[in-house]
Amino acid sequence: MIDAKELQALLLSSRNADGGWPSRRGRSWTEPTALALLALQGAHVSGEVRAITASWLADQQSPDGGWCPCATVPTSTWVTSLALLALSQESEHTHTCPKGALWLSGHVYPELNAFQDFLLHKFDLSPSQAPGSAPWFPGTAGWVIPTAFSILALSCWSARLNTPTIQPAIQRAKAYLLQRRCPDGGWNHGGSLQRSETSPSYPETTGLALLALANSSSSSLEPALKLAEDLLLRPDSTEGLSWLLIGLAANGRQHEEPQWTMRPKTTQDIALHLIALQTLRGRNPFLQLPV
Amino acid sequence: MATSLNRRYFFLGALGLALSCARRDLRPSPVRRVSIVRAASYKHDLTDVIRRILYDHRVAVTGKRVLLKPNLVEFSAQAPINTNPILVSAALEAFYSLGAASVTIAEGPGHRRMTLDMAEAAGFFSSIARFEDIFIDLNTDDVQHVPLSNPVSGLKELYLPNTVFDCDLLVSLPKMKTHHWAGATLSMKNLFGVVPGSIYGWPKNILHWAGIDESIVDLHRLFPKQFAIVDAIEAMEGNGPILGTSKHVGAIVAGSHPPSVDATCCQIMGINPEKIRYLNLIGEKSAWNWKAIAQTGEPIAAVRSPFALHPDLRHLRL
Repeated sequence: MIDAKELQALLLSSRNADGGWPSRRGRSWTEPTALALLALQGAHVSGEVRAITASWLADQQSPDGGWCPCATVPTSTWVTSLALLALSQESEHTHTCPKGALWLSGHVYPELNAFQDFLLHKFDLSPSQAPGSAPWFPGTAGWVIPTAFSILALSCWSARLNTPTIQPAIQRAKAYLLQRRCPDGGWNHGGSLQRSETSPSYPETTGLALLALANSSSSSLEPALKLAEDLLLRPDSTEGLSWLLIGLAANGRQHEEPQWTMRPKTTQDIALHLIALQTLRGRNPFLQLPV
Repeated sequence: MATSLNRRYFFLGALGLALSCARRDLRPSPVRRVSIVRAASYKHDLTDVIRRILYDHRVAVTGKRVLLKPNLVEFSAQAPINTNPILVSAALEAFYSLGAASVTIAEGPGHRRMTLDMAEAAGFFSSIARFEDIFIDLNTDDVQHVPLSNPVSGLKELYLPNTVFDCDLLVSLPKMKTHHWAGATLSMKNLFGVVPGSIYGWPKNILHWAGIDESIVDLHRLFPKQFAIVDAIEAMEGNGPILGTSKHVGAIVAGSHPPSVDATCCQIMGINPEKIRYLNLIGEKSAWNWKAIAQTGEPIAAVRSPFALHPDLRHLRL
């Protein structure tokens, strides 16, 4: 079992010279770097490490306001949510975020108009860009994970920005998540049920969706919470275990620090493991307001 | 008047024929060889089987950088969802024994993000020495811009992992399975795993939007140096690729022309290759005909075992 101190050392040792993180090896990418920064914000590290990481992340912002997954790919994607969450705690960079939040709110798919709604009902079809869902990659279908991250990032910035499009986007996204539950009460990647009727929920998506829906005061979350507690007894991955702990804690279900039998294998694993341990001690970096 | 009409019809007919010829390559299809080898279980000497297949197909291995691309989809040590790691290990050993300069294993699963944890649960860590050192997660590998020339799908470009271009031979190592959309998932559909989730997400929905069958064809055409080894020892029938059930076939199907390997697999599964759209597209775009395949080793009839098909896909039955 690895403790927080060892995890932190492991995380710092895998940092690239440019200040960002790879997932395992290679160049720095936005997702692992943002997660590493979120983990380091709750750890005892030098201000310099945080500042360099935050600068790397801020530098990746695209002219359209969003963030690209890595320097090679010039398209803003779902990782914008993670960058917005991580930079919300870095006062030198918060000024870059409003444009990103607007980009993000514009990528939560809108409600259907009356004609589209009529056609879909008439032919018993489901919309390819479901209202309230957010895509991994612009223009494709929306899924549970990017939608949950959109809720978290937009909720973080909504009070600060007071922009009329943000709250409706959050409400649409929450409604989408509630609609996309599996028959067992949790969430998987969020596909339609056709030919996947018996698909089970995944630990990571169930934990993350519960986190995104925390404070929704929805009694209908009870089956999902029960499922999450059940999945916690038999997690299949470090990422799954971490999201379950974070999601349950966000809904007031505190659990003892579990015996971690799996070794974290990627930057994302290490960072999420650290964040989950912080969450058990009352700090949840995904539910903070900007500094 | 009649002459005028006849001339017009003749002209239009000739134009139609010309367009049709331009679309479909009418050169005679070269006969492709596909090996079908019996292997009752994973306890068989699979290294020897693969070595013999490579020798039989005269695959140039000496000094080459080989990339093995198994199919890793979900957590399950029991259900035959993933390529069995014992077969992957045997392939690794076989390629090294024939003089490969390097053999790397790489995969980018399309449903779940935690590739290494899935690989561990599927037995890759215990079956393959130093697995983490020789494995690349294609979902998070560094990428390069790849323009698609004359794509069949709507895709104009993709960002793809450097690893798949830094090899001399790409070896597709799929599990033989039914697929609830494509009909069957075999060596060509297995290449969906080279599309990075860190950019396009889980699932790799951009390929669905561009057309599953069309994307299969476009990805196949990006890699001219391929070899396919299909794990048909324990396969999956019914509602594959995840929710299906185990089906014992007891064979390995292999060859250097993936469409021919897949067409052979379809026949073993009791699926009509003519009704698999991506194979049809390959036929339209090249001088290939699924009937021009020479199976070596076992004849198809000796291992044919019709797979249960999803009710919506029963029209695919051979």
